[in-house]
Amino acid sequence: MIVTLHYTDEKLISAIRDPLELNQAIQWLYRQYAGTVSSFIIHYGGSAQDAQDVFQETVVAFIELVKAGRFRKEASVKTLLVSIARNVWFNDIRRKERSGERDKRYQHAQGQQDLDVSETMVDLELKRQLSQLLDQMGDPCRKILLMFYYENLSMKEMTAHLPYENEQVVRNKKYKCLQYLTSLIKDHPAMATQIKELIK
Amino acid sequence: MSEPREQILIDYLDRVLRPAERAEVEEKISTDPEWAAQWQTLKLAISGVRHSGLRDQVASAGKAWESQREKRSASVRLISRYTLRVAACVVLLAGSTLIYKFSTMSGTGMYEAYYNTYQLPTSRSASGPGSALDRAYQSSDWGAVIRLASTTGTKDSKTLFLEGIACMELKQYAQAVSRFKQVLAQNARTKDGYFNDESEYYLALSWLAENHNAEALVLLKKIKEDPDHRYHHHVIEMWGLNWKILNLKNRK
Repeated sequence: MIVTLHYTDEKLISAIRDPLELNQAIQWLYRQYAGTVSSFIIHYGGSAQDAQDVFQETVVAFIELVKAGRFRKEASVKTLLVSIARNVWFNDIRRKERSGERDKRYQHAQGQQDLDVSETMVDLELKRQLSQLLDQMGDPCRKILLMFYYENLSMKEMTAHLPYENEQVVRNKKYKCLQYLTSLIKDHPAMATQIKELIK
Repeated sequence: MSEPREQILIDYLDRVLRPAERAEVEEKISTDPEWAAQWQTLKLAISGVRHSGLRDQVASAGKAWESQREKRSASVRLISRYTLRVAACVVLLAGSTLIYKFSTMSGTGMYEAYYNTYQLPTSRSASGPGSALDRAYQSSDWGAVIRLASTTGTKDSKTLFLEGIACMELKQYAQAVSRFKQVLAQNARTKDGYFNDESEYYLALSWLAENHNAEALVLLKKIKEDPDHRYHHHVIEMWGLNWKILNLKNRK
């Protein structure tokens, strides 16, 4: 589908909060800002593929930030996206241990105007690890949990899309999958620490 | 609440508990650390699921956008390639035509393209001393026209002109040039315009036939710039790319 809409920052925020408009909002973000962010990543030594991956992460982080009501209107969407992208990229290269090169680039980039997105970065890293746990579970469980908790499908709708006899089977399966995921989280040291922090 | 803790919390999460049961669960979460830890684990799990769902959605929208962009770039490249090919063909064709025209263009060629035999008007072929000449001319007996003209004592402009045309028909262009020049000289002396326009036009064509293009072009330009000239419109029709090429070649 070709995006023909034009969003102001305000309309974009409202579209992101509406599940029916989210897809169009994402395409708008790509059309409007992918080029700017990609240029930045390539300027700081990334490849075209790096730029694509970083922009995807950036959009995810931005949407979660908006949905959590943490988007402060004093910065424009573009400024925020570039700040997130910059942090995602430097976290990436830090992970990939290109330390010497990274430090030099990072110090240079720090001189530029940047928003404090550290909270978003911590959140993003935690969720990235959670996603990896979900991926470990295999396709059937991943699919069932996504259908129920992300797509908000009813048991009836899920049964129509899954190879299970009836809604009760799907319900039981979903329960077991969620139990399995929580057990993976409990066994993950970083996650366990995170939970302890949360209940303090 | 006899069901295992996790099942109850999942039901609470899925909003399938009755209000009283919900209140009971909320109380447990706020007072019992084990319930609180279990609840935080569940919330974390769900936030991970939602994050994964969003990543999938963004990745899918990103792929759709990339694919659209690729298609647009490909179609722009395709259009550009075809446009360039067509433009190259047009330029090549126009260039070839121009080169061909330039190399083949000559005064003789122009003469052959534009020469038409002069049609003697009825009023100018009335009976009288010239009627034998007129009849010979009208029957395209060019040899007879030249013979009759040469036996005429004092040649008037008409006789000289018809003799010139007969020479052109017999491809004796030098003689034709001479006859037309005589008409123009005679008219200049007598201040007469009899067969003057005709002689100028056919003199220019005779020069073209002989590839004396410079002389022809001067005369044709004069006719072109004179709207009252009998052959003005003929020359206007002839004027164009061919003349420009001829002029260019002539300058070389």
